[in-house]
Amino acid sequence: MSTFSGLNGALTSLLAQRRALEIAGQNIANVNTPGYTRQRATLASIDGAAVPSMFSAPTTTTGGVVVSSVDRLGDAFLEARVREESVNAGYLGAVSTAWDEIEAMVDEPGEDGLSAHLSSFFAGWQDVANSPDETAARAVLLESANALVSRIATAYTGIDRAWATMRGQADSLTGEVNATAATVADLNDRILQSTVAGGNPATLVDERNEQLTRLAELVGAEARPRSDGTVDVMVGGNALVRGTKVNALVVQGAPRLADLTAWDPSTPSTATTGPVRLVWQGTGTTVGATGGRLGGLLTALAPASTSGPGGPLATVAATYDDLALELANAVNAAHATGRYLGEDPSSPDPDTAFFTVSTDPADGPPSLNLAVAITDVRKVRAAAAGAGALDGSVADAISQLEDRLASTWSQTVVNIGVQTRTAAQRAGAAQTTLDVATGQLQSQAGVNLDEETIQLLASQRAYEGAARVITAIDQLLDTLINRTGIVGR
Amino acid sequence: MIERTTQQGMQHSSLAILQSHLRRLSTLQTQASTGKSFAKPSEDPAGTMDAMRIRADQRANAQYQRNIDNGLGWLTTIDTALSTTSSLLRRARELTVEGANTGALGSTSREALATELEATADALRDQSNATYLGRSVFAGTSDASVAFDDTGTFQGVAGDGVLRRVAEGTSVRVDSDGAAVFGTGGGSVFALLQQIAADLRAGQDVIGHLDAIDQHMDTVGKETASVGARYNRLEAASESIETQKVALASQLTGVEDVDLAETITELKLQEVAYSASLSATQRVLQPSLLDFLR
Repeated sequence: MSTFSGLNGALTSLLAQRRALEIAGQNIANVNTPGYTRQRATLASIDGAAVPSMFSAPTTTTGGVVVSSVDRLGDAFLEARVREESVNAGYLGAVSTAWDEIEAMVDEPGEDGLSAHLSSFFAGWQDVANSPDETAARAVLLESANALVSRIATAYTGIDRAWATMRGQADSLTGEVNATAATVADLNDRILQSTVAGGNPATLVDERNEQLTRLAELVGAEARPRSDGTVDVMVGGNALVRGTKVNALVVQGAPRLADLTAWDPSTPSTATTGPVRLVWQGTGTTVGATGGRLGGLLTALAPASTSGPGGPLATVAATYDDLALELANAVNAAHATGRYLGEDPSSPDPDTAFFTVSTDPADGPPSLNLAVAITDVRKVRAAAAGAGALDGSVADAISQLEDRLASTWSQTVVNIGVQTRTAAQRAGAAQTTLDVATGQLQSQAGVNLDEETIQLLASQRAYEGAARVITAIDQLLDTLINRTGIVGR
Repeated sequence: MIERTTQQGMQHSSLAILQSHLRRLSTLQTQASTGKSFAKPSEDPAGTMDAMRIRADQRANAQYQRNIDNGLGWLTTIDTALSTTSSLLRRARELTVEGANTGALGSTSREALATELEATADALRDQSNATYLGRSVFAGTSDASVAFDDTGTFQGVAGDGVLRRVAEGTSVRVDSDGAAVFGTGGGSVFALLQQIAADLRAGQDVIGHLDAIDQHMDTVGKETASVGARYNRLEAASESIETQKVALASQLTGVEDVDLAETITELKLQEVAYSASLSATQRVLQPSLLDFLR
């Protein structure tokens, strides 16, 4: 045992306590940093003695203290859970947003909704039935018919615009996914290098965790840690990031709702036709199951389906189309049986349509190509064939179509209401679960100021103690060096 | 594992709690200021359906009321025309009875009676051509300008007539078949009076025409009764719409409107809860051990 080994022991303590102090300081500095995981200096005592041998025995003193490692006190399972819940919350949130947009455009219950327009249109027919000779009643009817047509078109255009906005969002989110994946790959590389060099990649790991959570929320990516400290990111079973390599994603499919509606499912879909889908840029194959916000957007953008639930936007747009067709067909069928004001019964006019509508995809959706065919108020067919010229029975019969169309519409509104409510509830529940998981992670991995203050206090006191040990040894040596051998001086 | 608590975790949960309080407060605030318990279908899908149905019923009732008002106009016009017709016919009968006293009348008196009968016939045709809002009420669905022309020939269209829808599935006829009431051509009441006048001038006995006049009076009487009955039906339908109006309005209020007392109480409670959580947050987030160490 050397004379100065005590000094050395105290010195190691000074160094180790300062390191611990710095780490507590680092924790306190990052108390509000998102995604920061607290760190802890783990101290270990240094054994003083060499291996016992024949002529030397282990001494009782020790060699001091060392910071054996700086640990990142994260919890891989809690982190994974936050990512899983982010996938759900992102997906359900996007679906719920789509329904919210649809609902906002329905404008029911209210005075300017479609049902009010339907009512005033059919009431107009009764007024015509009451006084077929009055051109004013007929003019009012044509006005309300035009208002109804433009209300349907406005509703459809709103859906169309929402679809286009979401399609744009899908593109930009995919760009964000690719950029985030590139960041993860870059961090993988730096973490690998740092680990190989014996460094502490804790902050890099924190940053990568943030990016992984973002990827999970965006596209439902799943992280698979590898033994070398890097992480692979899988989407739908294939690697988005493998080590330091990135496979980029791209969105393909119809650029507009009308293109999607006009698409024939039996034809193969290309980059600009068919359902909106996520595709691997390298191989061109469609990505399997996706979650997250992008998954939710793709669900919202999906085509209408006769079997099972289709995409909400396309389904509601199809409902508007159906309504437009049903309105035109029902009114036209009844209208054709009538006779207009001043028509010569001996040479009936073959042009009997009240509405024009086309189902040909080239003409655009029925909601938008629906139009009132009549411009001359006298051409409204109110009188039944064979009855007097001022008969109103056909107009009355048309007014009775209201129930059928209004009930179709109110069914649609209720359906939209129920779906929006369900989607919002599910999104809310997923958000709550995510909040709980985040809360758990934060209470496990976050910084507690009190704890760090105690840590500061402990380290500071330990430092002071070590300094006192040095003073004590110094005084011992002083006694030995300066006070010995001076007997009788 | 001891449950750790961290500053960030507390901030997070405090914020979440404050958010949920504020959201609830905002919902109640909207309800209290609009007076409506829901503004979007998703807030109450079943209520939305009811509200839409009630509003549709209200709009339908408003239309039925307009139809009824129009129909009442028609029937009132017909009723007036028929009661005038009836008194004209009574006068014609008196004149005929007077003319039947062949022995006591000179040719001048006969001529005077004949002239008055002809005038009565003209007055009758005026009644038969009564109009409402420009339409002949006895001409059915025809667009002819008059129901009976100068020769007394019916110009209108027989058939179902003019109907007004007064309730779902119920229509009431609001015109009268002119041909049935006044007869047409040679069999018309006008032709009859002309014939009596001609007979009077020719010095013939007109007593035989009394039966024919009585028959016409009978027809007019029956039609008046029928018009009265239909008028009553319209009145009854109108009353039922009035009753429904009140019922529908109260139904709509029940479905859509908030219970104001309840909402305001809840709003107050929510305000208290919100300020409580604000002050709790203030207390929780501020202190740390640093405040207590020198």
